[in-house]
Amino acid sequence: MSSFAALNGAYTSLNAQRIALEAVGQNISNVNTPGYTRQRVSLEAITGGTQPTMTGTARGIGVRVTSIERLGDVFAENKLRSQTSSASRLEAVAGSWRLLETSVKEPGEKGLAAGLDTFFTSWQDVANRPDDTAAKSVLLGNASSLVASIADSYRAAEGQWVATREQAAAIADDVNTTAVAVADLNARIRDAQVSGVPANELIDQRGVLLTGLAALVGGEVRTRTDGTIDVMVGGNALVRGDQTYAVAVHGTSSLAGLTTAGSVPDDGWGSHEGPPRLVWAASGDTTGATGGRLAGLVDTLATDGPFAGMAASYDALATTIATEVNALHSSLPGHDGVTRDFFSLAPGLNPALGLQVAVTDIAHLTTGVPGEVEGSIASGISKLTGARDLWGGAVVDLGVSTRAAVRRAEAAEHTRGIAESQLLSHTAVDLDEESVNLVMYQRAYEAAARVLTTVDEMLDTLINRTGVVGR
Amino acid sequence: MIGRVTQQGLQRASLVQLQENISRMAQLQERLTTGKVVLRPSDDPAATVDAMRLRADQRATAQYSRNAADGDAWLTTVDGALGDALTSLRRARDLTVQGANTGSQGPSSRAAIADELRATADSLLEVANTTYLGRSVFAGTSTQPAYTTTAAGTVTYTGRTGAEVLRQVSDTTSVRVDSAGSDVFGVDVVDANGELVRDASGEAVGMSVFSLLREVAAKVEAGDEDVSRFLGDLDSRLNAMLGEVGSVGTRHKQVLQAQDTIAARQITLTNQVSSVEDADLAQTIVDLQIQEVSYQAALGATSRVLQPSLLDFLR
Repeated sequence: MSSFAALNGAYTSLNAQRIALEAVGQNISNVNTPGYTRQRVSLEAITGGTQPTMTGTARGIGVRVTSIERLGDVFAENKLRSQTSSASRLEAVAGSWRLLETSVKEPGEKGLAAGLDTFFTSWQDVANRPDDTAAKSVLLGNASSLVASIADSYRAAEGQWVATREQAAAIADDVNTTAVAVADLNARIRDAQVSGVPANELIDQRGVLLTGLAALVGGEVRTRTDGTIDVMVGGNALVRGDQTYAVAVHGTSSLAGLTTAGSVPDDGWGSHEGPPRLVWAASGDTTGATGGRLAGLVDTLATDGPFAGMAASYDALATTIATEVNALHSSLPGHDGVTRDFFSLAPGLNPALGLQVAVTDIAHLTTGVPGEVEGSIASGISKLTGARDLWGGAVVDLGVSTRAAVRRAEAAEHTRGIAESQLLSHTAVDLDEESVNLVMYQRAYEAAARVLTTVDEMLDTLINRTGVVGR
Repeated sequence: MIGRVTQQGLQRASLVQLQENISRMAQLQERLTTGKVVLRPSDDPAATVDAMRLRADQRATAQYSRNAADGDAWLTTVDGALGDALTSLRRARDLTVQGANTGSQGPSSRAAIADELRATADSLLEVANTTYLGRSVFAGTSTQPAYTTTAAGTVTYTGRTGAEVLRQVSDTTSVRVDSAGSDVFGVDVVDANGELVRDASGEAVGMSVFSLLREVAAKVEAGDEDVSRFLGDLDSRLNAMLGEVGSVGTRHKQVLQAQDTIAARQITLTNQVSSVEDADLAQTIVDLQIQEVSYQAALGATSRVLQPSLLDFLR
């Protein structure tokens, strides 16, 4: 064995400790980088390659860096992604309910309940003074403002539906862009691994994108042997290696289109027909995505979703109020002998939008027995409760559903938080630990340098001082 | 490797906890500034229903209050009119008794009695056509005055029997606020020409109080020996009026009681709405204080936990 082997051993150690220090430095640099996974240098002793000789046995002659490991946890990552996908879906649903709830303005003096009560009690004033034109004018004014506020409320729900529909389309674009970025990283990671270049940072970047993708559309991540991953949504690939398959949101883009859609035709919905749904852009088949914000938004756009449900409540309210008031108002002829409806529903429009006050002249208002100052009809109308009960029920349903949706979203977010903290607990950088490592590798580096000096002095003794005895 | 605590994990956890803390603060602050516990249906769906129902009750009660005030005015008018009518009718009865003493009266004094009787009839007719806000209180739901005089000097009652003017004073009670003129003042039985229908002895078969007084006046003027035979008719008319005064008084009392009940109910409802919707100020302020303390504690703890690391101690 060479006398200089120890020098080389010290050199390998210096080299290895330096690389390890660099890795620690990289960890410390990225302590706040989102998605960064801490790295650790794996060291391995170099086994002795020489044959036993007269002067000694075979022994190791140094250390080498085998790899820079990424201390990730694929299971924790998968768990976080699946929790993120369900939490995002529930959050999207809860957000829609909350949005709808703020447009209802109940309980309070500005809601529809107040408008309904005002309308019906003004019939009592007319019943008290059937000959009083002021009371009748007030009644017609209150009726017009009730009709307007029903239509406004309907339009608010419709506007929120349309905004959500546009948001869903925008998120589908976002999903496609992210999928392309993941496929691109897949290709780069594969190339890096083939050429033996470390790809840890690329994998971290891809992890961040995958979590974002899970929040948008859910999906399942499958790792392949060449380092690339596939993202499967509803059993089909969104990303396969460096290939992507685009998604799109098909279906009607207006609430009216949804309510008049009817049942599925034999040859399926067209891309602008039927309820909004997430499909594969190439085939038009539904993806069957069950998680992510996009699935949540598509849920809220459905016929039984919050917006369509509320719009149906407004329609039912308009129909009920028109039916019950008209039934009484037209039960007797007016003062001019003509039987009239109080409300009319414009054909070709939703009841909530088509509701109109048919009586525009106070002389055409039927208050009771014609030819007399009598208010039996007005009094009867003032006691109608069908519309008011209907609206009360709709508000309660809205409140209960919103509360349930928000609670589910909160619970899911809590679970997601736990999954995230588990992943962070495993992968994030701990500064104390890195500081200890820093000291450890620094000491090792110093010690290796000392070995070098010692061997150097030893050789000095051998080379420069041997054979000079007595000189 | 659960239990490994990292800087990033600590930061996230601190942020989440601070966020929760401050969102609770915001909620309490919203309660304090609005003074309401239930701001959205989802805050408390059951309380929302209660609040909506109570508000509907409040509006209905306000309407009942207006109805009762209107009913009160109607009944006061009717009551006053009946009082005037009674005074006039009593005077007419005195005059009739006076006119019956034929022996002691000359033609001129009989004529004076007859004139006063006719004047009383006119004033009674005016009372019978008393209006409140343009509507005749004795004519039911008719748009016309209660009594109109015909060319023949008789009267026609325009009110429709059975058509009552009602005021709703509670969910279940309506009170009649008019008075049927035909019951109080009577109706004339007339032929096609508007003349009173008379039997074989020349007596009218049915007369209103107005025609009765005119008939008495005519008989007194003519020196009829037996004017006192009309006293029975006058007394029955007086009794009818007294009965109506009693009935109006009872209904008036009912309306006044309803007004009291409504006033009490309005206060109760206001309290109930407030107890369902409004925030308990004292409790909310205390809650907010506690929340503030815990938020400050969380901030303090976070600042201490995030600061130190081993780097502070390595030299």
